[in-house]
Order: sequence, then structure tokens, then C-alpha cells
Amino acid sequence: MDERGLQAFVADHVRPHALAADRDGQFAPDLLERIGAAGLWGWNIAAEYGGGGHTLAECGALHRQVGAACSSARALLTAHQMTAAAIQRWGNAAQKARWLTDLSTGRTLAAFALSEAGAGSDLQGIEARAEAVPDGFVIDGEKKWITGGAIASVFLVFARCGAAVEAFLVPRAAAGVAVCGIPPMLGLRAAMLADVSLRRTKVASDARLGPADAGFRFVAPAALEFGRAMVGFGCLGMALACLREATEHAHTRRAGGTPLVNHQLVQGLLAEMVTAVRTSDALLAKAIALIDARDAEAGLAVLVAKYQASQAAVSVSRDAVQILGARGCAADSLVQRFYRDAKITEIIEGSNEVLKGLIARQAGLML
Amino acid sequence: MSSASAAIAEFLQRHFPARAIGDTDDIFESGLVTSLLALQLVNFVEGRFRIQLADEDLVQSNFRTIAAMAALVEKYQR
Repeated sequence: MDERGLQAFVADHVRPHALAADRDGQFAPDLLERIGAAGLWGWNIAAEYGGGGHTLAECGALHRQVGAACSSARALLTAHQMTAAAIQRWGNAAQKARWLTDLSTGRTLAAFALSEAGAGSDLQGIEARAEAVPDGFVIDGEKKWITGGAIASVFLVFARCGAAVEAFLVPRAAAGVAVCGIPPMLGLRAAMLADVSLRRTKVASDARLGPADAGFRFVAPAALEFGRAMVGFGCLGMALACLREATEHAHTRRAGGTPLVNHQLVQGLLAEMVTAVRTSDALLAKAIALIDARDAEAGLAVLVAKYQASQAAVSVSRDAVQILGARGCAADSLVQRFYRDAKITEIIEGSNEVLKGLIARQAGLML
Repeated sequence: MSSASAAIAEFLQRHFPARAIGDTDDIFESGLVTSLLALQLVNFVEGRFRIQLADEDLVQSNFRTIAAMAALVEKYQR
């Protein structure tokens, strides 16, 4: 599917359901199936496993387009594709064969189970434990606020194993796994969040992703790098959609005998919105280019891009609500929905406070 | 200095322009390596030298110094 086809799919199948999904806190199952039939779940998975084999930039386009229509759908895609990316990058041949084909079609949906009550972006704070036993591992832990957790069939679970943090592919059907859906929250209300409990959950030795001691060193950073970039593109999509709505309203709504757009204070808001959107676009494009080039600055560029894009999504959606006034506050308004969704993006894939710490540390080393 | 060593040194120099890193300096011991950089080192080595590192080679000792990374690269290029 090319970008035009993607745009048409989103317009026909995602955007019309976004409002109901936000209201109800869930998607109709047939929409998730249509997303699968269109190849969106497997967008970043290699063609040999039935995926789209799309580049990072094309993954960004997917997240921007879907993000401009429905942040919850975008969030489900991000979580699923983060896990798929981790398997593609760090999985052995057997793990790829077992999981990637079903992840491509969406027959199996995946979730990224990192967060805990006391450990979000801070991997060092993880308390889930994996005990090595002769024929595998036994995992105990409580994972919280897992995007897509309510509908996922496999979880990429991070757990402490001795001194290391390892990543494990844990089927939902494994004994000892309990999933508890979380009522819709402030934003991303249809992202199907769940708490995932693992009690003496036994997995085979080949459930560990990557070599020993790779969970913290390689698997999580690589998946988070992908996830942060894609959340950034989703933010860009939200900001673009809000800018479009605000601009249209400013040209049609009249106040004081003239369209809103002729008022300098409204012009000021629109100028700030355009600048924020263009900055996000440029930073995200640069980050993607640096990742593709395996450049030394790629990690820092992704952190900066996600941090800025999430802030931009908040400020642009807030200003769009302001320009649309009462219409922007209505229950069926896209801009108020994105204002709530945007706030969540300042918290997920590393809160902006955590990102600022990482940015400062990275930048400090580079001086 | 081998061509692999020179390329790795250049990569690290871009990351730490204010630090002089010798061929056998331990970059982990120096505290320079964050979790992000560890991943970037792997990405760089695989991308720059067009190799796919085996799981057993993804260990810290292979990335501890410029010399160790160059030796790893040369093992794949033989």
C-alpha cells in the first residue's frame, strides 16, 4: 500500500470510528481485523514473514496518518510494531518463524510489557523477576498500564534475572498470566490498556529474546528508540489535524465583522502552531535519517524529536481548542480529543522529564 | 591503526569530541557509555562494516575498547 492508499484507508476505516472508540474506550473487533487485512499491523515486518517491509520513514508516515485520525489506533500499532521490531532485530530464526508471520497479519497482537508501578522508563527499577530453571525461566511480576494489553496474545516482558534485565516473549495463554483491563483514562482512551500479572509463569529457554544480558542493553533501547520515533510521528499527525481544523475555523468564523484569521491575536496562535508543526516535522525527519545512517547522534536526535513533538502536540491542540472556542470543547470535537491524547504522549515512552535527563546527559557528553 | 580501528575511533570522537580515547581505553569503565550508546555502538559496527553480529558476540568485552571492537570486526571480515 502506498501513501495515497494509506490515506484512503485511514479516511474510510479509521477516522469514522475514532470518536466512538474514544467514547466507548474500545474498538469494534472488525476494525482491528480490517487494519490487519490492510497490512498495517505488519507494516514494519520483513516481506519474507508476510509483512510490508516498509522503511523507517514509511513507518513514520503510517504513524503520522493514523495519528492524525485516531491516537488510540496509532498507540496500538506502535506497541505491536515495537515488539515486532524487537523480534526482527534480536530474535533467532526459530523466534522469527514462530511469531512474525502471525504478527504481520494481526492474528497475533503484541504488547510491550515494560512498565511497573515503580518502574516506567527506568529499567533499573524493574522488580519483575525471572528465575533460570533447567529448561527455561519462571517469571513473577506485575506489569502496569500496558498499551494493547487487553487484546494482545503475546507480551514482551522485561524481568530481572540475576544481575541482568532480560526480555521474554510470553504468550497470554501461558499458565500464571492474568490480564486485567483498565478503564479508559484521560486520553488514548481506546488503547486497550491492561495490567498484566505473571505468577510463577513458566516459559521455555527460547522465550528469551537476544543473548544473555541483552534486555537492558539492547532489546529495550532499540524498541524504545523505534517507539519514541513513532510516537513522535503520531504527535505530528495530531498537530497537523488540529492545525487544519483551527485554520479552517479561523477563515470561516467571523468576529467583530471579520473572519477570526484577521485578528492579530489569532494570527499569533496560528503562527506558533505552524512553527511547532514544522519543527516537529524537521526534527523527526532528521532523527529517522540519522537512525538509517547509524549515526552517532541518532539516539539523541530521537529523544529530542519525541520530546519536542509531544510538546508541540499539546500546545497545538490546546491552541486549536482556544481558536474553536465552544465548538472545540464539544464532546464530538477532534481538537479536544487530541488535546487529551496529546497530554498522554508527554508521559509515554519515557516521560518528558526522563527524556530531558537523557538529552542533557547525551548532550553533555557530546560537548 | 587498522582501518576498522580508525573508523571506530572516528565514531567515538564524534560522540565525545572533548575526550581523547585511546585504542585500549575502557569506555565502559570511564562511564562514557549509556544504554543508548551501547546500542548505537552495535548499530554502528554492524552498519559500518556490513556484518551481522552473532548473539554470542554481543557481550560487553567485545565493545570495551577500540581495539576489542576492531578485533571483533576483523574476525567477521576474515
